Amino acid sequence: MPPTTKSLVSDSRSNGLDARECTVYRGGHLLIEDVSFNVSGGAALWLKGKNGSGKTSLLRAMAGLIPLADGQITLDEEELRECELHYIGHQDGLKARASVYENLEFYAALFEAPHLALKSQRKQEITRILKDLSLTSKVDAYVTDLSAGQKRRLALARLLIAPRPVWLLDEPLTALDDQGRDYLYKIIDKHCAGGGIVIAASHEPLDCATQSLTLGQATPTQSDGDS
Amino acid sequence: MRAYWAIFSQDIIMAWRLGNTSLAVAFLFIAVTLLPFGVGPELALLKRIAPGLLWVILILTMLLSLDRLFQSDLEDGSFDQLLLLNHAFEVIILTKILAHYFAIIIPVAIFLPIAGLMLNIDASALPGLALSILLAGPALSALGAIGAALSASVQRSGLLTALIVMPLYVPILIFGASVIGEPSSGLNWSSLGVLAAISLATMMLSPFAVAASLRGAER
Repeated sequence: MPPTTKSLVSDSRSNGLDARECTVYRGGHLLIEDVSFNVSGGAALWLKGKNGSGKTSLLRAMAGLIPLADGQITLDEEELRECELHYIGHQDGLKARASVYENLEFYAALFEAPHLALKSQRKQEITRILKDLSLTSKVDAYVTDLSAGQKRRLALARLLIAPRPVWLLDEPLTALDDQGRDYLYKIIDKHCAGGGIVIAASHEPLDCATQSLTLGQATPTQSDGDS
Repeated sequence: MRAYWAIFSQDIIMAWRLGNTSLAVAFLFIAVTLLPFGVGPELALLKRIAPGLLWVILILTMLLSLDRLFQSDLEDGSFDQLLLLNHAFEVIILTKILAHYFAIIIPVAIFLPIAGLMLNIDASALPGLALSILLAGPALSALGAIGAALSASVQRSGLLTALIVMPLYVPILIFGASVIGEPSSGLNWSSLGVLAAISLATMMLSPFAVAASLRGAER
């Protein structure tokens, strides 16, 4: 079994992820102004909003890929951009001319996952993940030969290759079929059960979310999903 | 270390699979073959102008391989993953520059002297030519990476990369061509020394310029 995220998120000082008065500019225009929210450990936040409301920009700013003009995002009192996290963007981050197996093996090495240091461990773990994703038959296929949904599944496989306390997912449901969605919900639930945090931007309902945040209104509203 | 090794080996494998390596070698052979048709088959003339021409061809070959150096990573989203690592981005860039050196320049350094035989170069000058390319190679990759990074977010950036990089290559061209420029006096060791110095300095400085411009391209 791979280590769960529990070891990474200390329960004692679990302030969760805290975003205070975040402001982001894109192309010189103010896109996100004074957005604040809090996600505690074990919760999944669904980022909602119209096209162009800044969902992707907020996720990228959280990951530290674009600068925050103002505000602060912390995880357990530590700057989030200094923390290890997973970010799955619109692009899948896969090499077209590498096989499914090679892509995952590359990320296993890139993330320096301690439980995958040996070749035999990697083979076993990658085989297991690909089986869960129903990609076993494609293990030696080039990524160019996969369908959009299969590529998306492979991108999601990165989440499982190395444990990280925070997952930032940008439109994770795109191109996934029902089975793929069920699988995604399952791994999100499992991640949250281990104390991890998931923030996912999506225009489609994200069934597994415990809370939601709507961007692009005069005042962004945070609500508990069950209400 | 595992992360750097993964980036290095993936870049080399991709250069091989996408044909960047074989394309570079094929290009230099075709370019060298064309030259005698242009300047005439006079052996003495070819011998005299060969070192300079081979270096110009070397630089044109570099330009072919540069424009996709970072662009493919930016397009497929791999760059986001590299930026998110808890490693210095500059060291990752240096890894990619070294991978370019191994994937493109070393094969070219092997085959360009062989192609030089078609221009009537003395066989005794060939090791010197290979050595000068190997020593100048890190500088060619490092300076080329700056051009590739500055034009990475532009579509069809090949010509733009060439415009940025070619002036930067002038010192390397001057010292490189002078290494075997006077066949009678043997190797010009001081030129080799200057090439090595340029390589060391550019390898150290260019990752900072490349990293800064790629971070800008992400924004």
